[in-house]
Amino acid sequence: MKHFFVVIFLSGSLLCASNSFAEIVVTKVEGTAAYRDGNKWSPLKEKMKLPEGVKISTGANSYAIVSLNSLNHTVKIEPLSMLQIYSQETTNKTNTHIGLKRGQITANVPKNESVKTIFKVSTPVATSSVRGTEERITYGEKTGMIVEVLRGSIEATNRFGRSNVISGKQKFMQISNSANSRNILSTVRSISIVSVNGHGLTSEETATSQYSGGDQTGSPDGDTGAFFNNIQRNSTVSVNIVWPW
Amino acid sequence: MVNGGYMFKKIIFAMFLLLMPAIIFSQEINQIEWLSQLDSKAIATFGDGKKLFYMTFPEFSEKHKASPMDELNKYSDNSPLTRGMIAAIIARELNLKGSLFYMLTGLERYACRACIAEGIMSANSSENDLISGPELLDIMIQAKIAKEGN
Repeated sequence: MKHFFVVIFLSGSLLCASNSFAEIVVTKVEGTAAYRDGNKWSPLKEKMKLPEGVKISTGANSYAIVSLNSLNHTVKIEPLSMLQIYSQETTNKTNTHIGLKRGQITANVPKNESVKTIFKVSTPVATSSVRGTEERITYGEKTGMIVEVLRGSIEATNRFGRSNVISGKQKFMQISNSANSRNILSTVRSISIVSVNGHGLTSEETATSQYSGGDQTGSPDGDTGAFFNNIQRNSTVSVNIVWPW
Repeated sequence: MVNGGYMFKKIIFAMFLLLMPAIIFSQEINQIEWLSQLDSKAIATFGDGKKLFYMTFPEFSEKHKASPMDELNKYSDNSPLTRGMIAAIIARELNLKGSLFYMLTGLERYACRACIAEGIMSANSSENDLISGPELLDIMIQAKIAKEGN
């Protein structure tokens, strides 16, 4: 009988060691942040240890930084966010899963070759998997999921299994009612390609002039009168493209 | 008697100091509880929109104590919130780049367009659409991101 209890205790210890819960610790709190404690919300405080599967919510103009395991994987929870954290750790493996219900987080996952790292952030529309990287993830009901890579690379997969590996200035954007994510270079394209208007006018000034007439859109050269007469003239434009940067 | 009054004041002050953290914590939790309730609302109200906006941008709250904005008195707090209503507050307060036409005409349609141009709102609905609690939170998160530029 005595041997039986010893065997049970040892096998229980081994099971815990092979898949133990990581220590989730609050490292910084600014403003209002709370965690779900049973049926009520309780204030989040620095150095507080949190249980596996904890739900955290931040208020307006507030943030919290949470350490997820001993490898210094951290997540900064930005204002008006709500998420749930699962984190497990053994000597050679970490497994972290964050469910982002709303808001924005910045995840920092330092690279460690000796430890197998699984770090996933899920939203209702897609999941991002990272290893050795820093990423900013935003989710909202209409905006969908936006993943920006600050350092390293990530793989983002939508719920139909279509995935993109992104790095640099690329962005993964997935809205809820679409089977495909947007082009990963769409944001780069929108800042790289600009519309060129004649007479030193910006596109806003051109739009204004079309509504209200040329009188209110003085160009730097003072030649507003010619604008409407020559609206379809050809122009020579010098373009300097640096790619990749 | 003088000593008794002095002691009484001291006791009141000590009790206030002791209760202050509890009052602050309860206010913080109230905000989280309110956000949680808003997150489950099918249709947000104009009052919700105003409260969340000034919670997110407290600097504007102080400004309007002295001179209230027209947009804030246009609807009752219980009115169902439309995209146009919240876009009007955001466009005027944050002085969005594309809000010129809204400032000129006062039409919420142009406030919505300004918000769409800044990436605060999605482009696939009209200014008259009612918005839910989660959508209102989404809009305010994007407004904060747009203002801080990250």
